Amino acid sequence: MLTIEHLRKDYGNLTAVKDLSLHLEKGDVYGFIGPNGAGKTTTIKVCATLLEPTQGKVYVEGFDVTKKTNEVRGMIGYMPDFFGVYDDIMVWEYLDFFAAAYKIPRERRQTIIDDVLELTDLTGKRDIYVEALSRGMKQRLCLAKTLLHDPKVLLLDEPASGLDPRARVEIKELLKELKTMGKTILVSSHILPELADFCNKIGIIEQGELIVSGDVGEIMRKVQGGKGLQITLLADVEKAVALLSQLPKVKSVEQDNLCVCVQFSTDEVENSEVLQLLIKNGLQVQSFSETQVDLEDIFMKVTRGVVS
Amino acid sequence: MTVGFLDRLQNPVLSKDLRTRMRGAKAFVVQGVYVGVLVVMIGLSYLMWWLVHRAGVSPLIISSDVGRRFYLLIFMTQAALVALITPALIAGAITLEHEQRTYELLACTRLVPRTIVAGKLLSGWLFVVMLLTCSLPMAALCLMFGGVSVPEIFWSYFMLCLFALFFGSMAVLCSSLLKRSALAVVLTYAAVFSYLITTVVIQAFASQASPWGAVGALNPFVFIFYSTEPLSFFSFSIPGWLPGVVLLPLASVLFLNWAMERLPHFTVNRAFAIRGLFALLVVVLTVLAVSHNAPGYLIPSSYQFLASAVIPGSTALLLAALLLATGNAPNHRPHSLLGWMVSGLHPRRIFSNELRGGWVYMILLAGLFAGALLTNATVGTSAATGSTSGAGLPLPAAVAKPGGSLALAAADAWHIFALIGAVLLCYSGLGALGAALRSRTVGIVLILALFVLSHLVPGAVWIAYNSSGASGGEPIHYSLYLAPYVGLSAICHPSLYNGLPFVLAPPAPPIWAVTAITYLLLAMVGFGLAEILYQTRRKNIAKPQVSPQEGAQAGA
Ligand SMILES: Nc1ncnc2c1ncn2[C@@H]1O[C@H](COP(=O)(O)OP(=O)(O)OP(=O)(O)O)[C@@H](O)[C@H]1O
Ligand SMILES: [Mg+2]
Repeated sequence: MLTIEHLRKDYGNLTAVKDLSLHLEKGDVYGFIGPNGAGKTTTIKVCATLLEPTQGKVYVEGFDVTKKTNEVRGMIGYMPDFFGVYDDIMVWEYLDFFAAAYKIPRERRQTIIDDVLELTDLTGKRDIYVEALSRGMKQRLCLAKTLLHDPKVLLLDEPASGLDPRARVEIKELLKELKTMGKTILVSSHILPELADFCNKIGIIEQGELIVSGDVGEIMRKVQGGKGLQITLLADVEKAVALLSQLPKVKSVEQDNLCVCVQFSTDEVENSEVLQLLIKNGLQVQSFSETQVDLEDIFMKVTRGVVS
Repeated sequence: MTVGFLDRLQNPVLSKDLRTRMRGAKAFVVQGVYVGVLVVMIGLSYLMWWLVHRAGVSPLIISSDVGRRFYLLIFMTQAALVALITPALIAGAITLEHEQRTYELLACTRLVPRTIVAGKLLSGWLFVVMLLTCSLPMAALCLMFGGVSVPEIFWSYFMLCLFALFFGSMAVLCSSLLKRSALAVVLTYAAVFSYLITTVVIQAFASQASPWGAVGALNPFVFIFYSTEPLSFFSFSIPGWLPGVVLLPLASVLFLNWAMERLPHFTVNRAFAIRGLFALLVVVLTVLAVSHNAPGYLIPSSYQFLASAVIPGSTALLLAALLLATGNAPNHRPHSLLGWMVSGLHPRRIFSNELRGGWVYMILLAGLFAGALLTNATVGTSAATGSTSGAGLPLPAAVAKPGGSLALAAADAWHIFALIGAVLLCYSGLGALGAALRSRTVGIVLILALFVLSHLVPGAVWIAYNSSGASGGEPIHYSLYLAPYVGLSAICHPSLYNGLPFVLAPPAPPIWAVTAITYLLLAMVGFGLAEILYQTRRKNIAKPQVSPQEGAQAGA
């Protein structure tokens, strides 16, 4: 769906993006993470046909973004990090304008506008002037605009920036919904937990270079080097710690009150065997789960140079 | 919801802009001010007139007098308002989208540059037309007084609409060339006012008999005075609105094509349209300029001819070379720059945006310009010999009969072609040199430097010579040969430089020939240097800077 090959973008002497390659399949949700000035916006703008790459190619559904610009524009939905709205125009007119600009036939526009308004929870604001909307609503309106032409690929540049926690959650829910609709999404952010829930792939970019990129789980393993288990017991925590420590390939066992965290050095550990071992030894296991990937952790580790 | 009508325009930009422009108080304030200014002007004029004529003259004369006065006043004011309002309305059309940060969203849609440029122009233009219709009741008042006819009023309105379109196209162009609204508005005003002043000045120089002529007809303020009077086109007569109706849309389309090509975030190649329209404009303008003379003057005098057609035309051509004779070196780094510029000269490429076709296009322009000047000789000769039927004699006839009183004989046209062609070719050489050195911009700077030097230095030398009374004949005095206008004026007015210490004594070739040869030599130096520089720097030209290590990585 979206393929970036050896992308490089220079601004004069400054290299904003350096030899960046990635590939997104249909239905992928790719979290693009990096600190300020890392080159996220630059990469996304190249994909959105708004910047000429200095080197490298970007293809959307096999169309080169620098050559088949108009076709690509019809297939992508781009939401910039900063954007403005027109004066003296109502929400429905704003959407109608963009729908027409995307060559959606007039008969279909009204229903599509109603649909995207519903999806973004703006139905009640249909006849309100755009400049009177709050920041969060404008953000959602922009997202609604992005969805009008039913794009296959969504390029969202920090869609939740500048929003209050509640609005963030709302945008996140919306993105999850889009994910279930089967869209390919490239979403950037510098706030990690924001992306953790719904991305199946992430890439971490720093100073124009993609340091890590791939499956969320894979990256976690790469960073953590193995599976982690979190076990809560009713009693006898010491005994459990002793038992678990003797398992093969255990890296560390940490105890916190009634909770034990085990870290293995590999993935090839059967959860059921561990559980059985504990139960056989008469321990009362209250909960048993794999440790959740904490993107923030990955990010801190990666940018500290743990993985490179 | 008025989706219906606006939507049928098939231009989302236009329908959105029309819809929002009329919202709120802005539109009504502008409309109110517009009508207010007209009313105040008329009121004051009426008061003045009444105070002066209180003593009483025959009422019949007075009435038509008032009507004429009002008519002129209303349309002069409207012409000024159109020149003032149109740039303000349209010059911000695209720059404002940058400033509001809405442009990227717009560029990402499936709109094409044509739709955007047309939508932005038309939404402003229709507003100006709407303002113009607000003055209809006042124009009707003039009719009631008499002294002015319906066709006069009709053509005045019609031409004001065309001028609004023309100024609006300039504004859209500035808007797509620049990033800031303030700059775009200032540049548009500068362009509009220099246009208005240039047309008046050329007209004033061109004809002592009457301010009414083809160039005058291209100025809204002049047009209003003579709106229904015919123009003399050689010995024929054409309606006064014809030059405007032909040239203003032509120039507008040229500007709009340029605006489309330069619209940010779009890659369309309008070079064919731009170069083609420019060439067409050169021909039509030159023919119109040489044809205009007041009734009774069959052939304009040398001075008029010089001032009205040759000098302004050639200056405009030379300046056009800045953009049209320059370009960047090719990305694929062929073995020879000159070889690349000569090879593969498909006719279409002459009208492309590349450096490659530029030099052929320059020669073509010089030919078109000289050829258009020649119509003066052909049509003029046929008129003089009485055979006014048809479009005049074919060219060979004119060559055979260069009537003594003609301002320009056919042979002179060849000389003009050689001179202008040599200068344009030299500029092409500088364009190539610029490309070899670095880029199109360097080419433009080089040409501009030569243009300014060759126009200013001879003038300065001349003034210094006149004020000091020196004997002349010093080497610096021969810089006169560098100025294209000196050669041109010597062609049109052979006795002008006779016996001056600035020029070589009679056995030497005429001024135009020396100038042409000098420029040809300069052109060869330019092209030669370009090739040498290109060869030494070929490896670096247009090569992206990649360090060896990264290059290896990319290759892996
Ligand atoms: N138009 C430009 N001209 C020059 N340099 C630029 C331009 N746009 C971006 N840069 C530079 O390119 C680098 C990458 O910028 P970019 O906007 O892509 O970062 P980002 O990852 O989006 O950052 P943020 O999280 O702050 O949005 C920065 O160093 C920036 O200064
Ligand atoms: Mg950014």
